[in-house]
Amino acid sequence: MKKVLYFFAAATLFCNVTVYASKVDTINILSVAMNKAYKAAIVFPDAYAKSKANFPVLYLLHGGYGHFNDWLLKTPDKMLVRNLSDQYNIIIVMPEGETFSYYIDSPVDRSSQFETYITGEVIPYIDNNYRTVKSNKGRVITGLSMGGYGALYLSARRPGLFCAAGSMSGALDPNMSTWKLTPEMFNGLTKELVKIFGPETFDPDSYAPYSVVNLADQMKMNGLPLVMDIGVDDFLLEPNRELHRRLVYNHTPHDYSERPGGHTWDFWQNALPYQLLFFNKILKANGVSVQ
Amino acid sequence: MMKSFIKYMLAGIFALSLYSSSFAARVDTLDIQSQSMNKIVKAPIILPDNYQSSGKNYPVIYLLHGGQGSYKDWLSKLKDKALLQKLVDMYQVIIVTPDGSPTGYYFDSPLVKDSQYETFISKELVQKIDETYRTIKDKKGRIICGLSMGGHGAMYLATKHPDLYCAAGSMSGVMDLNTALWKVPADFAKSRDKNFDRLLGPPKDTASPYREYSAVGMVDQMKANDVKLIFDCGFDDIMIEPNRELHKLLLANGTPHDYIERPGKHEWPYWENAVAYQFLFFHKVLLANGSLQ
Repeated sequence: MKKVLYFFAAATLFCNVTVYASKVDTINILSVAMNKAYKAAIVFPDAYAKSKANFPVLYLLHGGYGHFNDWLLKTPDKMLVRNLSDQYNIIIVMPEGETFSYYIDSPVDRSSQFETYITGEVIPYIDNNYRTVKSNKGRVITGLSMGGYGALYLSARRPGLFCAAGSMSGALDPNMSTWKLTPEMFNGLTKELVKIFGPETFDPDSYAPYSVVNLADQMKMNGLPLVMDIGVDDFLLEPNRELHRRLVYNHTPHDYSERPGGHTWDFWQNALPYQLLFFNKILKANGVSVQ
Repeated sequence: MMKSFIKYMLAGIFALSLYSSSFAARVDTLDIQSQSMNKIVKAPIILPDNYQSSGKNYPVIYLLHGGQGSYKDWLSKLKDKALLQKLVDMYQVIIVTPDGSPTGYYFDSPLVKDSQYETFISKELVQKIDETYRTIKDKKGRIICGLSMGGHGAMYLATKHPDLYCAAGSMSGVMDLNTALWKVPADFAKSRDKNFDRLLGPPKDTASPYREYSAVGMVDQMKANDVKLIFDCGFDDIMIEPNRELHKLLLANGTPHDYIERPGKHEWPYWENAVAYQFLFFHKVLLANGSLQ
């Protein structure tokens, strides 16, 4: 009888401590395009191991000067991503985007082909190896700063892959004339941008094809639900307002939030739960969310 | 003895699973005697499912209805009839959706004796709720929020009574009582003007009528207060311009606030979507100020 009692006591304890017990894996995902394997972190909700269901996936991109594990290491609340995975029963994949790939296929650097990597290599790998919803109906993408750019850029160019996309403090336009930067920041960023996009030469519009702000009409055609967050003290406020204005003007549905804060982890920690709430509503409406 | 203990444990586990899987929150509708208006005003109270068993004190979110509406709106007009119950269970708060009369605008009318909704909401109602339920009887646990006329009410009351509320939210709020800025037919604007005239008398400043009663006219007070603010509006809403104006004014004077624009019109599908984001915002405020564990 005592043993039974212990069992119940243990079971009750177990219940309490495993309410939030998402699992984090770090894996290598090979890029044939770049002939290199990159690390990715994957958070599985607690329910993943306990059910046979297929789970929706959020691709969560990091920012410039960052790496795949930023979202797990740099938020003030280290459990943020794991708790959101549990709360919404969603797999969260954080792939590598290198310190300054901008998630594009660089026209000048063959070793930086991250559009191909994320859309043509990471997504198939995840779908082939895990119980995911293997269609756009269960796939969403967002990110911060350079990753916000990446999420909107990739989803605008490949709308068939995702059912929604978001951006937090997105570096939406690589033309830095509208960014509020110190001369040091401007010079540092220029060096990095040139490596990926090629020399800006004398034409301020030479980066125009890469500007997400210029994809407003493409976004309208795609009709993908979009969510954008920006801090009112962020040096990227203006390009975000410009995309918002264009999307209002051409009647593209999107959620646009301006909140207190700058280009900081406090801001992204605050913003991410709102984005998850947004995505969850769409996944629910698509009938792919796991109850 | 041992057996009954096991039974107790089993019941506990059962209760735990029941709690996490069902939304069986309780709704009381109180008849509240308003001294100031000398009439009875109704207020539904939505309690979380674990209210009886938990023994703890809960934060309260006052959720105000819009023009031409009543205390019944928030419980009857959402497509998901259980939404408020889900929200109180999920966020461990009490929701109160008081009546504000169809055209009362949540201020005290100097002219109409039975339209004293500032006094009612911020004094009589708060007192009654705090007496009747296990609430956090402090601004830290009190929030006010609403749609349209109720969005105005929430911002107006929280700004006038910063000692009562820690946060305020507005959805498609009437952020300026100047009907010239509303995207509405002329006869509708005229009927609203008449209503304001009835409640407040003729405007002192005809160029920006009733600004002292409008959120856009209270931005300096908002800056001086420490009430966390969130407001949102749909692109195709009749109130989009006054909301954009308030956002601009609060940016200009440096008052922290969350401002959201999203698809939608002045209608219930918009509010059904928006209210979930407002509650997430309030949840963060309550967590940060220690009112929730």
